Amino acid sequence: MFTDWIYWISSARPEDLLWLLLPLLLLDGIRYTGSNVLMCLWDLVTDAARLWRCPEAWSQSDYLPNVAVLIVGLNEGDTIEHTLRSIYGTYPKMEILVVSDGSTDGMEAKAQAFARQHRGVTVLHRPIRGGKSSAMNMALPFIRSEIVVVIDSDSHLDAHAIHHIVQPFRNPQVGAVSGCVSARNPFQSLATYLQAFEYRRSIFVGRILLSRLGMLGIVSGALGAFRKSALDQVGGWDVGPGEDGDLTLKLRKAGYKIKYVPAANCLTNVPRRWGALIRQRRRWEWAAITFECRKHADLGNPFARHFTIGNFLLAVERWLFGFVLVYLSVFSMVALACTLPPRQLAMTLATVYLAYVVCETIQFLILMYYSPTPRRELLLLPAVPLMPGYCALQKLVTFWAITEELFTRRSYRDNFVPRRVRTVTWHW
Amino acid sequence: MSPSSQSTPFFSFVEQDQALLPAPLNTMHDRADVANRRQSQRYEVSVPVHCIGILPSLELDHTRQWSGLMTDISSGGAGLRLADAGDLQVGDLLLLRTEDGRSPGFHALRVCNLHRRDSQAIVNATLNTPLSPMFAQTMIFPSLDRMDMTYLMPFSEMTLKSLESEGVITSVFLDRVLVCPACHGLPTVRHGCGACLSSRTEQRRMIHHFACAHVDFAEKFETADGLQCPKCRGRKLIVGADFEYTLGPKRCLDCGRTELEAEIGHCMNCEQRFDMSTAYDLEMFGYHVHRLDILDLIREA
Repeated sequence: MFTDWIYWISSARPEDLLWLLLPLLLLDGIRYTGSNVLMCLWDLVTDAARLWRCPEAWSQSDYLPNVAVLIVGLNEGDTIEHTLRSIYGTYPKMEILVVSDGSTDGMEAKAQAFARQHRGVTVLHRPIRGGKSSAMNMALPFIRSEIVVVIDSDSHLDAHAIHHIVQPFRNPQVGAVSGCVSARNPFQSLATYLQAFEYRRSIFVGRILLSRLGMLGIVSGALGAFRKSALDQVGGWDVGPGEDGDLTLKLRKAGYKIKYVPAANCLTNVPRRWGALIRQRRRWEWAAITFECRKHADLGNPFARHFTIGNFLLAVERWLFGFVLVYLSVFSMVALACTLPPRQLAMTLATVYLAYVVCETIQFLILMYYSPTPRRELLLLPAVPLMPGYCALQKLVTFWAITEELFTRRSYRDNFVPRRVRTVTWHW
Repeated sequence: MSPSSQSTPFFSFVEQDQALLPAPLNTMHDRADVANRRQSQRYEVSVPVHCIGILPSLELDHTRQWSGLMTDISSGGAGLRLADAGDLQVGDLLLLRTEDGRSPGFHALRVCNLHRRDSQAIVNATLNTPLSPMFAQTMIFPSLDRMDMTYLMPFSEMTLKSLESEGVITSVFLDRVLVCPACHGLPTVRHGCGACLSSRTEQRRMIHHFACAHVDFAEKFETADGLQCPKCRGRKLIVGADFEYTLGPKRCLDCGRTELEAEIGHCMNCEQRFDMSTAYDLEMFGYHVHRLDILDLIREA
């Protein structure tokens, strides 16, 4: 079979192979691999990557605004104390606010116990869960700082993450800064292992380019920083899920710039089981439809008041690669399966798979260039040949999620938002 | 805060009432006591006893011990015949322990009359001693001094330890009370600010508007036409359906901090304020008294 495949490739006409790989080369290849290659080549010439490989130590001229760290959680009693200890004292001018959103596992008590022994920690508690968005909004009236850093209650920040993430705010036009999110548990299962590489490829490297192009459309909820005045201007977070992406788009429409700092790294637990992973990605894709296609569809309207080229390119990029091409990929696969004989179908798919493996290998090399710990990245090398299969699975999940959201508004039945909230919130 | 530097007082030692101290002979009190004993019916008994001297501080003096017989008993006193009691004096306090094979019973006596015959001392003793209140009951408890708002025992800690080591009394754990770390007085407790110990705190009411997830102080929603969300301008909001009330963190009106909610104690004795997490955990003990049952002896006699 393998030799037949090799013979099939070698005997195929170049134009046939090109036609076969055209979608990859023109679309996915350019967007995800080609763009990163160009960026990497540019940085090789200018050696700009040293800024990420070797972040400079603190200096007297560093920008040090007052920072409020906001942690919201539901039943995170097991991790909240560890999270507080990991961030307390890592930045000179910091206040911490912990919001317990209907927790019943003693999260509030543990946070209060920490607050009694450490100055500058405020604990808010809601006896009945109201959702993450309103829990974060609840803390806003009590924040006295200029910058709000939002982290997940199970996140663990690197030592100088807060220092790094606030530096872009020196520019008053910057409204939000995204940190880098990495998997804390990469070797727990095959799912976590592949997610770990995906996070490094897509978040750590991928957002560098988007930030430079002014097309960054999301600030991670696991580690993100916002200007307090900008938050007040746009009214904070709206009902989720996907409230982090929605807030980012609101800030963009309000005229703020969104930046990304790879050196601001945080570790978070990624789903260990495939079922949990699929549920997470479905939720993310519902949010993409709700906010990017419906609520903020005017991003692509050149006549809108807040129109900018960056917003327009962001909208086009999301619509094209997030929705249109997903449907095209699935339909093309179905068309191939229906038209090609099985043997030829298998060889065709194997050829496409091989091409994707080549792209993933290039992405891995780019990651090695940008990473401050390239030796640690080598541990993820075995994930490269598996990534095309993983991405195909993610495409199917995306297809399923955006279809059910487009036609059934599935997100408004999800328990991420309490029932009494999601039944009265606006359905975009 | 730590308790006072001296050995931790389990309770405060009360100045002994002068009337309870051993009175000199031939006072009116002593004559009345003698008359009382003479009027009491005496019963002859023959109970082996062992006596230990008691110091004026009411601690036991193990260097002075005598053995002998109780020869008679009454409700007011007892007659003893003790061997080798050359150092016994009138007015001495004795702790008497019966040794007739049953569970030991104790009582305190004061020597009223003393005759020596051969090598023995014939002693007439009264049961009226400074330790009488202890042996008048089977249990002694700490009492609350309502002036100082502190818990007191009727006898000093040294006295109780001395008697407990001899087996006269047995401690019984009663309770554990949080008291002032400085003077061990009882506090009143309230919620307040852990930073400045003020009880002037406020907890402002907030509104969570479901539709737009906006949360703000309730007064921000109030308009002339009713409640209106300052974020989305939603009007005619109905509690429970459109929004809910919630409470923000408690804010101290004196120092302005919101992060420290604590229970504040105010000592009713020394008027000192402290965080209840620093309160002294006072263990309170009662004592079971293994007293000699006089009626038992009389009944057997």
